[in-house]
Amino acid sequence: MIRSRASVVIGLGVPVVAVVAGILVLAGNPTLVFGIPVVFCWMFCCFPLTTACLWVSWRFFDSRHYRQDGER
Amino acid sequence: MIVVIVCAVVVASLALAVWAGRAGRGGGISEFLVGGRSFPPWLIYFLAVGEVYSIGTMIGFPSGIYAQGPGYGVWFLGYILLAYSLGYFVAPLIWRAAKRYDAMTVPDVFGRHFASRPLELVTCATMLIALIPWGQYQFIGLQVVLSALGLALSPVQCVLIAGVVAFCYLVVSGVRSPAFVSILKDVFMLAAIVAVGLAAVLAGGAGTERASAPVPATATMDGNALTFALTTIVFQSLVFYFGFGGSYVFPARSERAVKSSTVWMPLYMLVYPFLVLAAYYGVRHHPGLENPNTVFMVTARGLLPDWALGVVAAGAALSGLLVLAATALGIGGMVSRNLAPNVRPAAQRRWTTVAVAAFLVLGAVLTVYASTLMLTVLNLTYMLLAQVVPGWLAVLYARRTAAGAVAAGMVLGVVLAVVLYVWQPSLGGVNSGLISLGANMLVTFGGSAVWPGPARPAVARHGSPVLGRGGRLRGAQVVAEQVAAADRQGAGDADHRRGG
Repeated sequence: MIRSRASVVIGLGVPVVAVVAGILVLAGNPTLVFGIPVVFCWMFCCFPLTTACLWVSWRFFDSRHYRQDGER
Repeated sequence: MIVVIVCAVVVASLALAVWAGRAGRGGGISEFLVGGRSFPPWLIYFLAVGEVYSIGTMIGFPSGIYAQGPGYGVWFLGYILLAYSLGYFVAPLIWRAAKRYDAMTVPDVFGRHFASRPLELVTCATMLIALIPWGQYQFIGLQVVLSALGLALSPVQCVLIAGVVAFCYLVVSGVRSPAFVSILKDVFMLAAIVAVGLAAVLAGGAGTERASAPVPATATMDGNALTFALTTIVFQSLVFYFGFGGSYVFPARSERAVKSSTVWMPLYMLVYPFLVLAAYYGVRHHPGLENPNTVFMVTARGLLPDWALGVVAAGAALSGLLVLAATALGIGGMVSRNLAPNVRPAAQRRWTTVAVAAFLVLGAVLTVYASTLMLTVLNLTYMLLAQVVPGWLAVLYARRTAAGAVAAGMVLGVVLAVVLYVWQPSLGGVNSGLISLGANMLVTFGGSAVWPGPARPAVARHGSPVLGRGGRLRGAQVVAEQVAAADRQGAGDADHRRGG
């Protein structure tokens, strides 16, 4: 079950928008950075961004709903 | 020198597998297949990234960019990244379903949830058909790596060595081997990729000084290439956890362990910039390779001294062996628990081992006679594994899905996936996996709307071990009797027959 819409928006919505919109905007851009297409550079930026989004979802919305391992 | 390093690392990994197995020695089939469902978050993390970043990452990813341009690289990165976001929400539910039905394989879950032996068999057959090319994918990569060592090994000898080592991993400690060996593999794989990427930059980079050389790897993508990249990201990120997830979600000790470990998985992808640099270096400095799959190893060989090349080869070899072992274990488990009728629980571990050996032989034979571009094989695997997605959605979210509709959808989806893979229509760039998955969905849920099955508690809505406000448990107790009743009615027979 989805327990928090904010968690879904941050943990799933933000990364999806970042990846899809970034590709659509930059796919046709011929700029090279260190010899590689700029669209790759955007994808690399999305890695830490996604972890940050998931961490926010976990830390502020979801963690408290899951009991600690070993807790009954 | 290269061969000595690779052999030493592989021997060390075997020793680690033996050490890892000491905790579960003498355990039954549950210990062998899902580690007694006891893995903490950090071990789930390494098991998951160990299986996700297979030899396809080191060998297949650069070869895709080399042969097909940036579109292949972009979809590869995009689908893994979004799969983690999606997995953060669905992976705990997958674990919950496995826990509820005491399942060790996906067909276990489907067969017990729908109380249908035919559906269990159809699911098992679908996953077996799907995982054979996945095994082949690892074998192709291992063949490339072993061939690049400069030894006079034939393709047959290469795949034979790989198969024997993977088999040894599993015999000594089941699923604990891939989990612990993945830690060693990560050290070598990360070192190897960073070394090649940095060497490419220091050697003049993937720069533009010879920009006229690379024809396939242009800097931009549009039209069909862009459509293919976007639809593949959507399609494969959806399949990622539902198709492959069982092997690295089921061994977790709790939903919390699954969810919390997923948070950090995207950070592991920071290794990809180095791979992209290496791929574009290969594009510009080694154009016209006869076999695009060799581009990473050719680049490494041209840039690094022998000892460093040994580290690269060791990292690649371990990553392939690890996933090969994990895949073989999954297949062995399905054969002994779901396909073969009436195997006693005490004999399941033995039968699993036999099935593992048979799968490794089959995968090796396919690789020798039908080697192809790795990312093409990856697409086929995903198209086939996608056919379990509607079944999972029914288990997790739907109440009255009919087992017959799920099975019919799965069969139609597999047939359509194979036809589309062989035929390869353009479809305007749309990933054909979406077509077969859509047809499957239509049959599964359309058929169930017309002929609904008996009501069953959806896993996502009931039986949750989560806490309510104020830290009080709720949900689990409320529906416990309902679930137990459903289990007694539906899955009781199968449980008794199989003995858990």
